[in-house]
Amino acid sequence: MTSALLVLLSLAALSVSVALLSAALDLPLLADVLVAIAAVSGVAAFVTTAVFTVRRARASGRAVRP
Amino acid sequence: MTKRGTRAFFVASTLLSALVFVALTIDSHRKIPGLTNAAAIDASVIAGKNVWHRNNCINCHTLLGEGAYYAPDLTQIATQRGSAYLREFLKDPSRFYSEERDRRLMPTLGLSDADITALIAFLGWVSKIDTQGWPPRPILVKGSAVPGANVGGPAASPASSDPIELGRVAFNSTPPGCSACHSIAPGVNIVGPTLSGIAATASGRVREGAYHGQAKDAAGYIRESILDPNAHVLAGPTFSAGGRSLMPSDYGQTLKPEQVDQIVAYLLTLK
Repeated sequence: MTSALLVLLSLAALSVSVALLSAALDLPLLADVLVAIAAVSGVAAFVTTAVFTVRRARASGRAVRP
Repeated sequence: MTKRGTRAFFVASTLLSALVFVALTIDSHRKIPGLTNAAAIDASVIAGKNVWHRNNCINCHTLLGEGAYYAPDLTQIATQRGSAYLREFLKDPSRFYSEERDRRLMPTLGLSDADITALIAFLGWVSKIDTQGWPPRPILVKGSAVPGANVGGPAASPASSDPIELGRVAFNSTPPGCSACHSIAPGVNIVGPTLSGIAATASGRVREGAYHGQAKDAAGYIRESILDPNAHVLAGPTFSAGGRSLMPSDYGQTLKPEQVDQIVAYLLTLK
């Protein structure tokens, strides 16, 4: 989970940074595409965290059940 | 991706993002003097800013979108109206408005000539700040949305070197800012009277017994009105208050003779 999350968050941060750079260089299309990638990466990071949290919670529940 | 690869990607991305952020921040700060027109800030601009604050102009007006939304936004007023108009307006705004008709009136602030000069310098500096289109929907000054007026519009480029075309462009440019006060649509009086059909109006006027100027024909009448607005003043609700024309009387000095010729040629074509 940690690896996937790191990759997704890094990708989001990188995309946003390069999008800002593209906007400053008057490349609006590239900036829009990168921002969209960043948004998808951010949402994917959120979903990944949620899925892993729910799975871990279920696993912990099974472990303590008599 | 291996754990080591993941870590390397994370570190590299973070460093690159930080680098881009720092570079863009430095770049933004480097651009600020150019965007704010900082080189044009002199003692007169600073004095004008003090006049602006001393008279609480921002309690009614906005600059760069900041202020009260009671009166027009003045960010571009210096380019929209020109200094000649602003000077006359600031001396006595009540000559430009009718309280009954407009329902609101700018107070006469009693500004000295030095205060007015400084305030115009300040507004001139503000008008040259690169706001990158802000405010997106400024409160427009009077005359900006009336037919035949061109207040605040971009100065057009001449389509040819034809004197009439050059005159049209000069008429719609600031300075001299003719179109800030005169509409070319029939029956639309802004600050000055409409110039629709001015050729016919002018040739009739020079034949009237009440006319006491020097012109002999329509072209001469228009030229005289530009260069010596007080040669023959018509009674009107705002544009001839006190028996004096509100039109700036220094176009003889500020306009080149050929520019006057071109504007006259253009005005003679208006139907």
